[in-house]
Amino acid sequence: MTIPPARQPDQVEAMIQKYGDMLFRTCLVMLQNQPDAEDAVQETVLKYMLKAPVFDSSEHEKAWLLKVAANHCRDLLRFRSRHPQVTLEQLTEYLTDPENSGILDALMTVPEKYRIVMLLHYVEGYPTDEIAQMIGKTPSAVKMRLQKGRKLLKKAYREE
Amino acid sequence: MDCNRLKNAVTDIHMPEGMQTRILNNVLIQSRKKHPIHPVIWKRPAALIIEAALFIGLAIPVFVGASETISQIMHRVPPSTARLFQLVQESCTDNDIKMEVISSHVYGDTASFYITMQDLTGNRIDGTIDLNDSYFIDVPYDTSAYCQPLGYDEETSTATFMVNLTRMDGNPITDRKITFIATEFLSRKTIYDGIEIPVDLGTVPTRPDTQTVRFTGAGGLGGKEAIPKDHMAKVLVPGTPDSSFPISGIDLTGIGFVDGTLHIQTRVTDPLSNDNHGYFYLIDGDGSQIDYHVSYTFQKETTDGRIDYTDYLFKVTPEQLAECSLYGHFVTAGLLTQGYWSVTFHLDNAQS
Repeated sequence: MTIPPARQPDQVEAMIQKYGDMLFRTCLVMLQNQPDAEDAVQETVLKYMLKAPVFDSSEHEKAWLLKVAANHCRDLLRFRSRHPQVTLEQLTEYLTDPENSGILDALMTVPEKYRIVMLLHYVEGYPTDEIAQMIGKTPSAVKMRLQKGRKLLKKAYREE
Repeated sequence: MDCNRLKNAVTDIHMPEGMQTRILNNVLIQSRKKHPIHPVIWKRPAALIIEAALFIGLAIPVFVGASETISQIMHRVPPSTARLFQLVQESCTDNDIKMEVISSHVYGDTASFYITMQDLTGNRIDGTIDLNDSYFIDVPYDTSAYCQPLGYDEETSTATFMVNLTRMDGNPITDRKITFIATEFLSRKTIYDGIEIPVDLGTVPTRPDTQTVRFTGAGGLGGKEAIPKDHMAKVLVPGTPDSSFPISGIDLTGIGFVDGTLHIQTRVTDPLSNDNHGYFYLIDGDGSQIDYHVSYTFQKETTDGRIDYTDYLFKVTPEQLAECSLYGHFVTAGLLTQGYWSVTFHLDNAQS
């Protein structure tokens, strides 16, 4: 019997321990509710287990996970039309410092296409050309989105 | 804008307790579903019980050395997970459909359990069954829950699900009595994935009849900004359904530009009985996909029941649209089965 080329459970568990928080916060900020974020993380982990891609480095592994998670988030956002609803959770329950909730609430008002590039750039530290590769856009489009996203965030944060 | 502040705030978000275990558990189950280890494990209920027994870590002598399938399954399940599940095997039957809770696992504020639904006399259950919103979990605290289809055995008409529930207040589940109730399910679903919609996009009306309605749902990629706070939106007046629309159970009732934005409108009659749903997208001349910006769903009550209309809005000009093709992804269900299936069990009710 052929065993599918999958990662072993202990390897998957180690990956979740290392990158679980990163994947969860990315998906939560993108999708704005825990069940959807959990689904997106789960799909990412499943793909990691079954596809078992080979990575050159831990940075390569991290970028792959973020790219897959971001794509799942975009799919889920598209799929929300199945049961249209407006979802916005209070993020404070996931925070250790309640003072962080203001800027996160402001971030939630920024449209998804700006939010993802801001997360990848300002939070995960990726340069614009790498983000462009991850989300399938040109570097100049990413720069424009960063600029516009920053502007929108600034405006929203001032209104908070 | 201090971007370090943004970074600090986002990195302050941590995965809730229990989620890591839950995800690992689900992924292991899903990986078995997508890459079946051995076809026999989905062929008969007895085999399903064997699998459940393996999952719950029961040492049943008859299985010792039985086959390499057992070792393959165990190979994929971390001992820490397998040990946690306990056998339940409580069932009820209504409308000749049997629902059984196979095994359960509780960890902190979260519990998981496996259930099967089996049609004892017919073929009302198939591989497309989904309990979605039609189940209820009776516990004396607030929870969030989801029910995930795991597999279907055609020979015995049995579907397997895993249910996860989490206490909203984050406290551990100490009262371990649970009642799981299902009252209906949909099956015989048809999925239309990437279906081309035969509409002439070069002659879309630019001044269609419109109306302002209070919408009951909104979605799309436009985010909160695209959704009016007063829940009022200008939409198309529904027209005669397009006879060439290829989805049975969903009607195309209008297409036109409203204030420079393309609206495409669908109608679903009696949506609570079928859950027919879907969405459109455009493919432009370069092959790029254009998603709808926002959708508004509004309802109309008629003597025949509720009708849901949805307008999908695209930010394209008539000139751009003429270069596009229209596609959609839709799901329709062919059969609604109703009954009352209720099983009460204890999460720590281990049997051996």
